[in-house]
Amino acid sequence: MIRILIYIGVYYVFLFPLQAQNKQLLFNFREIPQQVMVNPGALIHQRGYVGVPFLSGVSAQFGSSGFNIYDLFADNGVNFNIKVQDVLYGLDRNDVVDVNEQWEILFGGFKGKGEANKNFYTFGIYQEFDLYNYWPEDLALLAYEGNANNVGRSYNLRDLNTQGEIFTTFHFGINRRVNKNLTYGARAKFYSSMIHLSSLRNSGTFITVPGTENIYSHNVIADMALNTSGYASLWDQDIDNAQELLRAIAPNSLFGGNYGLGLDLGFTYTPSSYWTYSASLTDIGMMWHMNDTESYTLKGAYNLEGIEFLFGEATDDDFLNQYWDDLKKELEEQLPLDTLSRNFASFRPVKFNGAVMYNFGNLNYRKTFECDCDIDDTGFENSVGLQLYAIKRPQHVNAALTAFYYRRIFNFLRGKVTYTVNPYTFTNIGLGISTHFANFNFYLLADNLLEYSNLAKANQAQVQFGFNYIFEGAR
Amino acid sequence: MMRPGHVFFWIGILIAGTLLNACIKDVDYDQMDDFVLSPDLELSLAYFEFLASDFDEDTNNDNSYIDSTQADLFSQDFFDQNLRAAEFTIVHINTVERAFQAEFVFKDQQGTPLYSVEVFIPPYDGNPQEVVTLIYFDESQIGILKNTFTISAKIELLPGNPPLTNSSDGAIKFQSSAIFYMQFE
Repeated sequence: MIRILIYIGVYYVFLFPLQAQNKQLLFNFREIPQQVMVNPGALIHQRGYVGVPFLSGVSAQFGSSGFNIYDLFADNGVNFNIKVQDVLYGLDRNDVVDVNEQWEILFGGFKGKGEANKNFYTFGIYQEFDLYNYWPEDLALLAYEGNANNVGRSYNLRDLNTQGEIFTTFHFGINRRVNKNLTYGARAKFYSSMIHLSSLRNSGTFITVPGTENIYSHNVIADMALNTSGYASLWDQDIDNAQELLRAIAPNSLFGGNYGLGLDLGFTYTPSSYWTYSASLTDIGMMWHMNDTESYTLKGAYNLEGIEFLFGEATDDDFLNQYWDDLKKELEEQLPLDTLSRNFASFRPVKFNGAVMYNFGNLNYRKTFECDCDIDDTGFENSVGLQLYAIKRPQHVNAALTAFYYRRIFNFLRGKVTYTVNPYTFTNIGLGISTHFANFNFYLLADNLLEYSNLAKANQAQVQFGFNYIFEGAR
Repeated sequence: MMRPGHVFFWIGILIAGTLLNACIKDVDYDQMDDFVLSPDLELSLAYFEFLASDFDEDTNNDNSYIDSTQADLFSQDFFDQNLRAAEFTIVHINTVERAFQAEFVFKDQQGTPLYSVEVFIPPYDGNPQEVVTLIYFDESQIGILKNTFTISAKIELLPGNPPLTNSSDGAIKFQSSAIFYMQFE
């Protein structure tokens, strides 16, 4: 079972070598309806829109701070085990692998009734896969090297730090344009978890030191837990591959019994037509796991110097003792590995997006000719600005800074170029386009373009695309 | 039966994956089959200690002790499938003014000896006598360990002088550990 999950993780990591969750190209891209998902208080110019079901929003992102696919799988004649060794000794406990995929099933938005209405409503359903994993440095080295040449080295069990889940989100948001300077919005989210695994806040050490009675003394202190939901019931099913796993968890996508609530907040402030300030907090939320839960815990302390032979004192007629069995029992008592069913809560990673944008160029862009434009054509031709993105992860807050240039190229084509600096890379250039033909909007956003000649060498990348139908008229 | 929504969902993922995969070059995932994990595990094993007085020759007719334990851990999957070689370290420290002979016998489930080792421990001569014995089971011999079901240990006082009484000084100590060379493929 774990092998299947690893397989899925690897599948995503290698097929979707994309940085997780920073949607720097989408933020403030006002022609794209999905921009409201990153900021519920975004400026919305459309009167209404509806996404093409299942194709309105697809995004896949991957980030790995310590290595890339090429480091491991380069077809260059170097022994694979040498490559593994090089990667392994180059990683530390702050390195992360971060994979995220979102798939919109349904998406739409419409202006409230009445011309004077200040509200715009959005709704939708999407599925999400999210995996976040810190490199378990000490545990990996222990598994790789063993303890034999590491007497006196203390292995930190806290290094195990991972969360992976697949879930469905139902959302409804309100965007309110208070006046021409200020828009704010909020979105309520209802999560339905399909499968969840997490092991966070572990503690403990393992160390081998010279013993007093025997040559070595092995010492473990552990307080570890792996919480799962939607997982235990899969044991009863005959699951051999990822497709079968997905089929097995699919019924949980609507009402699997493990639910959560979330909130997105955001605003846009435009003190003048030149300057725009916007910010949002998304996925302030948690999930409660009460159904099909199984937790594996390892808690206790154990010191082992070996088996003391007692000779005459406790031997039976054949001088045969069950020292080994006794040792196992003692270990199980003092350091029990328990499987329990218990309720637990998990948190969604809260994300922050903020931007300051300066608009310039021709005002009332291309209003000089007759235009039946269905898309917004007010404002300036160009915008430049800075964006800050941050996401709360178990050990750190990860942040990225983006400089961007946005341009209205033609009536039917708008573009945005970004340069993003984050812990993974300093060479991340992104390009986004939004096109508009016959009331259909299509957008394609991709970053880390310099790496597209061979994505295997990329430490992070993302791609997003989607189709929407835009109703005529402006908000 | 998969719902239509999920069919679309995963078809889309496959399309996106394929598109992105097209940009991945010069890699060979089959190398993963060559992966070998080979940690060396160090583990303390058995230990014991006898005082010189335990071999009191005034009251003891028998001048040896023997004990054995079931030790079928090597035949369990974890070791049976992945143990490549093993090295045992046996340490005797003698502070008794008499020599000892130790014997360790590895037996299979039927009680047939598979392997034995004898160690001579010289008498204390003013300095503790430390005898270190290394036993290495290489890949051709590791089957012995995997078939082992019991291990017995015997310690015997060798004839000599001075005679040991219940007030004799010193002790004979036994300590052991092993390095298990594992190989997971």
